[in-house]
Amino acid sequence: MNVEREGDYITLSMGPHHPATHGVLRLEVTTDGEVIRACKPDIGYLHRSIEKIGEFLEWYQFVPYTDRVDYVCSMNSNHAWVCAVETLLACSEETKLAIPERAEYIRILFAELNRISSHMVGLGSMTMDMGAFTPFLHALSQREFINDIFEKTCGARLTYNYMCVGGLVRDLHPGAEEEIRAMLKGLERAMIDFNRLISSNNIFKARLAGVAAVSAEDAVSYGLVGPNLRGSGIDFDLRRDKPYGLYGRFQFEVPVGKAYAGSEGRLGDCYDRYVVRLLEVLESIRICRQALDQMPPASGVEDDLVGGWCVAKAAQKALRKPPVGEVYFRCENPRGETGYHIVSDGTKFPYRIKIRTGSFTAMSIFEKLVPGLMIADLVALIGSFDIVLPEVDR
Amino acid sequence: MTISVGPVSDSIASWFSLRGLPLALSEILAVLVVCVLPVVGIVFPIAGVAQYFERKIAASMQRRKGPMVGAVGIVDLVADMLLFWLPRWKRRAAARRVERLPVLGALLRQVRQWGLGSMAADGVKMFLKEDMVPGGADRFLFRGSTYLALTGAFLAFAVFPFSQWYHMGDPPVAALYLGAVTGLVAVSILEAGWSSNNKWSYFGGIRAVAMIVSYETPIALAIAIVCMWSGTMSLQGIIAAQYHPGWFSFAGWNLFQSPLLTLLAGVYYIAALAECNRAPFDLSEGESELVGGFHTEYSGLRWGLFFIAEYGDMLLVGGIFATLFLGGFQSPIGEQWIVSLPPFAEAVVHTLIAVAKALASVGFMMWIRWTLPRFRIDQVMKLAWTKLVPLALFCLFGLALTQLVAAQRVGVVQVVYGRYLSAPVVRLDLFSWFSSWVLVGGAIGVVVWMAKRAAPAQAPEMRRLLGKESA
Amino acid sequence: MSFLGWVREIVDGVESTATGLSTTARFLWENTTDAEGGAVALTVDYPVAPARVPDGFRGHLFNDVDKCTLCKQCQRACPVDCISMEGELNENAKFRISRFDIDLSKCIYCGLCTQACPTDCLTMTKGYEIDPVNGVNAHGGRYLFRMRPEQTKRRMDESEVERLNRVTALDPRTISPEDREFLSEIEDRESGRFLFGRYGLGYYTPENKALADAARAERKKARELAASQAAQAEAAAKAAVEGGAP
Repeated sequence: MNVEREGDYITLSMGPHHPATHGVLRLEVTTDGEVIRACKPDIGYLHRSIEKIGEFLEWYQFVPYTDRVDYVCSMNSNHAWVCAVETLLACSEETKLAIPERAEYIRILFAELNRISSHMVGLGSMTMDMGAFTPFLHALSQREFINDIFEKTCGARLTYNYMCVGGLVRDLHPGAEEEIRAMLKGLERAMIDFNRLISSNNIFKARLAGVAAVSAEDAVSYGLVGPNLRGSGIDFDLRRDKPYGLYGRFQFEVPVGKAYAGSEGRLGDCYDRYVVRLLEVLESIRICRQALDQMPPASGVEDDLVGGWCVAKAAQKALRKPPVGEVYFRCENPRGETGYHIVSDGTKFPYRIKIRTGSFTAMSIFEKLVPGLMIADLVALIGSFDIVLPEVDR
Repeated sequence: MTISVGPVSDSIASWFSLRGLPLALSEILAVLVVCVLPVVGIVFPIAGVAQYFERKIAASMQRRKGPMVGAVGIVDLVADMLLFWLPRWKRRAAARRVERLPVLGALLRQVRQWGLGSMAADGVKMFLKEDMVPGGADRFLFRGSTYLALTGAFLAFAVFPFSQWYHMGDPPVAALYLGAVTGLVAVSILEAGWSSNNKWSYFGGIRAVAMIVSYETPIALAIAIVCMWSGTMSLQGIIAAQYHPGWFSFAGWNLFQSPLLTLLAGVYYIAALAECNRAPFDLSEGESELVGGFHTEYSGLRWGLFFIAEYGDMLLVGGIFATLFLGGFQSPIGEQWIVSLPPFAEAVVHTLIAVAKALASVGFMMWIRWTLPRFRIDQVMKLAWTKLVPLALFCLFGLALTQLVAAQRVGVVQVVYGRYLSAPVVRLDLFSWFSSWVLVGGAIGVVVWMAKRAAPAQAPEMRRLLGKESA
Repeated sequence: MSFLGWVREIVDGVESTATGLSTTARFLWENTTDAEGGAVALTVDYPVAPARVPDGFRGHLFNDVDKCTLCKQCQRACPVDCISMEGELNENAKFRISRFDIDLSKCIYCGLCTQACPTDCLTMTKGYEIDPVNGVNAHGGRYLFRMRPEQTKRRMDESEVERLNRVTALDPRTISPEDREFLSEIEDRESGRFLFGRYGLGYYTPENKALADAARAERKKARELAASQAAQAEAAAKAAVEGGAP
């Protein structure tokens, strides 16, 4: 066998076709036996220049593209884009839209459901990276139940394109509320099984405890967001601290890392990020229940703003001539803070779109964290950051 | 001309020749029955079927249905092959007509529903795939390692006791031989990993060697302790020493002799899992870390040989576990009467029991595999050297002491087992058996209780996750 | 590490393994016995049995050209530019659609075009099995509009059109060979593509069409109701203003 030698180190090319890199991520890893000495992430294999494409599409036409920025949580991406455009429109009194309350509640309900399903993918694939396949499929089956509901309401299982500027494309399908309540009940049971099976398992804990601990200062200075930031003990969640939509009306807690793995664990290690996601699922269940309780009933006739962008005449009119200006809108997505920066020159096309995603910023800390870990730990690290490659590359 | 592989084949040959077969033919038949039948007739088919059952078991644990042959079923396949000159839709129509037949069709539908065709399909696929040797690979080692893997697994069956007299051989140092032969697996994996010219394979090979060599220690200790307890290194002798006359034959099994032997059984089983590279010790494969580990570059039948070797190893380990701790081929109840059956009937019943015990162990391994995540290499080593070896040594001293005390009290008893075997055994009488359970088991229990009491309290968030506490 | 800590590690390991094993054993039991609690196999025997598709599913598109006004709203709304259409004047000097093409290999099934359609003639069906490159049933068919006799290159009589519409309404997998041959004759020789399908590519069944018609009528009714309510409210407000002014 031929080993390229550089000193006594082996250079490994981990990816872009590697089962544990969650997509087409390539890591150039220099190892000393099993122990990694250096790691350089190499991204861009999935770049589709979505931001540039957006400059050639009308405001409403970009919504299906936000589905594809992060296809594990399309609903949240939709929400972020739609809110960003609505914030832009709110800059001027002429174009300001009044979003119906029910539509706002459904947006939050579906964003939270999609957060659950996204976390289920993240948690499940992490257990699979650790070598346990059964919990992965149990997590994914819960995602399937959520997708069933989405499919009935909006007609698609992955790229939902459900929210539109000014409202929603469709109302909830008949009987949706009971279905969602039943699903949440089953989900709670399944989460307990999941935790009994894998989260409390000693091998699993030992694999994650103390691995790749990110200190609070590092987490801030490297720009980690979302559960990765909260895993390091920083209590910051946009939904609570800078509420958008109707998030101010909900009661929920923000879980943070507390070295959950016990004596072996350290604050901000892989297990903390994992547990923060588990707890966020439970909090999302709470938010969903509150949204279902507080939601005003359907008006019976198809509302002006629940029926697609073309039905929303006000939105249609506003989008033809939006105010000139810049908007940066931040949204708490499952993978952390997602920011849409849009520049409008007053035409029906955006002048510039820039998307800030959590997975992309998480890539920068690899070079600092990885040296000293083992190859198996690197897999755990990738899983615990829950990166989604289309979000990294866009 | 006489060919002989020991007294068993001699007796089988004489059985054949007494019934009028030519001597040479009966000798060849005897060798086939003794040497080839266990491997080809028992291990090969079980390896194939076990894979099917593993997939079904895994699927059932994961809310799936497992292997099912879908639209392109067996009938479609056969119709495709037989009616190749017809257009595709005509072949499909013919297949549908076959499926509408009364009995055959119902049978075929069942086969399709259970996915039995997947076994055949997997086998055919393995044979038809291209046998590739990657560029830059060491061709000799690359090819050789597959045979070595299989050799290691099957050589051990040479001493495997299927019944009182049906086995290839029973050397007095069979336990030592087992330890020597099973080590070949490590060599074959190292060869495969090294020769593939692939860094992931290389890591897999190195990991396997580090792990298997470490786990030889607790395995060797466990086997040595059982040999000490039974007073012999012959596997038949170990089984004979576990013989208990009367209905409740399982009372004589080593597993129940002392709490330390129960503990030792656990130690042996964990180490044996590592020895056959099964989850949670499948680091040398590690599909999420090392792509495919040592067999990344193998395809087709060569990969299949590794696969069969793995299942052969599992079966072997299960069988040896049964031999050491579960009375080998003995029935759990009424062994006294089974052993007094005519030799042929006795061999059949005992072989079935031995295979059933091995299969139960294989099933347990599957259960473990689809439950537990994988260790990291340093944790694996730590488990071997800081947990299993000290526990095995603790068992060694404890059992030596127990045996010493028991020998003082009751002395050595000659156990006569069936027609062929007798073994000098230190059997605990009821009092020493009971007191060993009370004293040692009680001591272990107290230590465990103290350790649990000293444990720090669980975080409330963790309790909430486990459903013990609501928000 | 203290001795008790060492023991605790072992005990914890054994306990958590036993918990995991008991959990998977329960899964196995529930799944093999199909016990209550929903823990049954979720697999759908898809190619053998049909996949489960809900009512609101966004499958591939169907255009009912009788109602299409060639307004090109859908073409404008499409973010991937997969819709193209042509119109022509017929013998009565009336403008109507002659070609409506959706490149299903480009289509991302976002549904913006159906939202844009003012006459609700462009709808999404429940069809999901399609090979957009090779054509769904080895004919390379890609056109998704309703045929009239004079639109085919080979002029067909009424009975042939009837047969065409009957055949294309079937599941393509059950079309008989004679019908397949018949279909293959109705080719647009110039473009080399096939022009068939009263109901899309055979997925849009008459039942589905009836459903779509009903839904369209309902939407229209709802819109009219909303409009009349708005008009009433406006009138009331006006009346209130007028009443309040003096």
